[in-house]
Amino acid sequence: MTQLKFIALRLVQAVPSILAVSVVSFLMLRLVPGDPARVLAGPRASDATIAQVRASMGLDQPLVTQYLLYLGRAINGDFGVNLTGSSPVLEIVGNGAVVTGTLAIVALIFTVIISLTLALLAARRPEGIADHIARVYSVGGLALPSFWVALMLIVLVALPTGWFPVGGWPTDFGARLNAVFLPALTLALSLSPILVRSLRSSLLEVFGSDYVLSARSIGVGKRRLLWSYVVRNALLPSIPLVAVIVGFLLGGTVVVESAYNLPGLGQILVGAVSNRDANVVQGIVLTLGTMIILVYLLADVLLSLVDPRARQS
Amino acid sequence: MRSNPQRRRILGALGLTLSATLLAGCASGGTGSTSGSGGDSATSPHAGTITWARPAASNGWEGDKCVDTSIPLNPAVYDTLLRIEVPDGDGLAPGLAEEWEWDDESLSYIFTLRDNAMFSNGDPVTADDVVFSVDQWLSGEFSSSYYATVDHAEAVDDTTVHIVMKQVDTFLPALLTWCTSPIYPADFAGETSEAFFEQPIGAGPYAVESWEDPMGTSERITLVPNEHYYGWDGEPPLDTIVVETISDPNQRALEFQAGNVDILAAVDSATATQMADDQLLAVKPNQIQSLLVNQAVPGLDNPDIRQAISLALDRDALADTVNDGSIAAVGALPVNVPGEIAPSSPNSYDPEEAKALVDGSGVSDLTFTYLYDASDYSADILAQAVQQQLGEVGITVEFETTDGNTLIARESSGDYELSSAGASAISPTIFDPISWIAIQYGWTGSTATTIQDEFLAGTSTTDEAEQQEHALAVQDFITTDNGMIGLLNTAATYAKQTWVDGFVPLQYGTFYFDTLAG
Repeated sequence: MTQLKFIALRLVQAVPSILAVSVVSFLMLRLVPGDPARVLAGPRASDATIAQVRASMGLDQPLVTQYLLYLGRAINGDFGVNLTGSSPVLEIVGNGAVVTGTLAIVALIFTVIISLTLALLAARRPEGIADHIARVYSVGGLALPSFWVALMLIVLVALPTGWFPVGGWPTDFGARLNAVFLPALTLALSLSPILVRSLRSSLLEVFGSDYVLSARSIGVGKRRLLWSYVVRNALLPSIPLVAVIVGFLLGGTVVVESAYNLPGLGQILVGAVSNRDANVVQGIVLTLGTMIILVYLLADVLLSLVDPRARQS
Repeated sequence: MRSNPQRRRILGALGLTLSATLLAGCASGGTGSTSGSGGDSATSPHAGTITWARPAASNGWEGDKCVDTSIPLNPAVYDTLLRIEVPDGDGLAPGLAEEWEWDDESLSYIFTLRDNAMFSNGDPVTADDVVFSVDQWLSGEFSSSYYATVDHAEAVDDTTVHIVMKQVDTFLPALLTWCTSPIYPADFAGETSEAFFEQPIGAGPYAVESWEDPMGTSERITLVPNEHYYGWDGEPPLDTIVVETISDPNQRALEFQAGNVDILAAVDSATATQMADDQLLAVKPNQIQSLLVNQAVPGLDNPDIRQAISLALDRDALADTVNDGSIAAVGALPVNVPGEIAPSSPNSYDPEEAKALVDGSGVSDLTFTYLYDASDYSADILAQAVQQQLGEVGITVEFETTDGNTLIARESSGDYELSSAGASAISPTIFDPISWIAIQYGWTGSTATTIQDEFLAGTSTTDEAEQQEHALAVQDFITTDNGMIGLLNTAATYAKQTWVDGFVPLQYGTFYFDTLAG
């Protein structure tokens, strides 16, 4: 199968997945108890007022009709407005995606730096002190909940030093990078333990492989040996894992966003679910679903580029 | 595995250091004084600016849609004809109307407007603006039902306006303090309603300078003084008020401790432990927390079981358990509201009588599910205490937790057995919470219209003694029928930095901004 065919096939396979995501998100929000009309009208509103609001929102129509109307608009790029009618969903999703995207990218960089450093140190001398630290870190990092790590970083770093804001999303780009440092570190401290273990195993395997021994025996320099022979090959098995981590970063940052008061997709999604704001929930779920599918697709393509056997399987 | 004592010592030292650091982190939280909280002096680090953080965004500037979080915010921008008396909240006070009276003959309230009130665009507030505003209230999709007894408003001259009623309704003056009753400039000052509510113009002490992420999870509103406001005595005391939405309670508390936030709303008892005593401000207990009992559920349809539940509850012990300034409920209506009255037979604690009622009821299945909002810290503690107390008379309570919106949705559709409910007044009359409780009581499966009837009768008379009789009738009905069992009157708690002056929150969930300084 050619590379182009492979990508085209994966893109076609993504369409039913995205449709399924849209149906599930649409149905789930409507099947759980809770009434957006009551949220809008307030707890003191009479039943008559709520019925009137419900009708004006089109919520009195059959579910299938509501879904088809939504799908028709979405295909034309119209995701509607939020529950209060104050902002278009696309604008809300766009703003949230900037925050979550920035957080995810910085967190991914931190995760890779921490993981690679620790894994390299651990793999260079198995059972050495660095290896022990890496093991403790792997277990400890997985055991510590990210909201607790966030609180600790705020209490122990942000508050005493004043170097980082306690939370919030400033308007200035430089200040934003500063504001995203601790949240990204929090995420990296939660995610890197997974990658450390995987990388350490791969590195150990590659360090002991014949081609590394051969390279060493013909006098390949230490630095070239490490980066061109060892790290490059050891990273291959971690590509799918990095894709999973990116998927988590896109969809699972809600706790960290909440702890640092970052207006990202996760925090917006929780607020929208709580308010039964169907348009915003669907907009975000569809966006996240599409992005995650694309990330997995990208990982598959990358893997197929470096290892053509993946295309055949 | 190789064993190396030196390595073990190093690892041990690292472990100890890590543990100590983590423990230190856990310990740094509550303080007994303001020191170390970012606010250790009475001088603001950002003089002239007050930042107020709260858990949820506003509902916008439309009076028609003003609920929840907009209730305390909108008075900053819009003034109303009448206000609530400060600081005790014991009655009504002049707002844009200097004087008001009821005219029995013409079935009208007659208001005399201040002659020096102006909108933030510099236009004077006239009777025409009031007439336009009343028309807006009457035609609103969400709130017009509150004004069902209003026929129309008419301007007599620039400063005199009549609100003509269809019938006597003594509730209207209280309703005029609500944020659903703002005074807009006539014809929205030439703007479309959409444009107007994006950049509202009001006669309140402040005007909207910017509104970021409107109604979103990170809404940030910047208010600047309305230089035409009639209430300033010289220069406005503040340059800016910033209203920030921070949904996470820990984040709000940390921002407060860092000195970035000056006023915190909705401080729960867990967060309060992190504040210094001189930073906490509890209003008078005003919100009645009740146990909603679904009378359509087998077992709970038995009046003896409902009475047994009421008798089994030691409300003083519940108040001690919740420990946030709460006081035991003597009836089903809130306290610290003008017109409050205790029921003829106040709530009492008699576990033996409760046990006897349970034993004699003939009800075999005495296990009920208690639905409550798990994100409400006090509700969580209260639920456990109720479970324990009812267990002592043989009633088993199982928990089902949910979020606030689902809770109300399930209660209103009768999808619960026992549930937590709250009701408070947002204006100074006992008929205010009665109007809300009348709706909630319909969720208990009761078909009685007693509360609605008494509300209508009580607000249709100008005789105060008669009004009291109708309020008492509501108390007596609920404490006898026990569809809604009063537990506690809880108090809202705020936190403020020591440099904030003039912050006087009322028990009605609101405060006025013109006295704020810092």
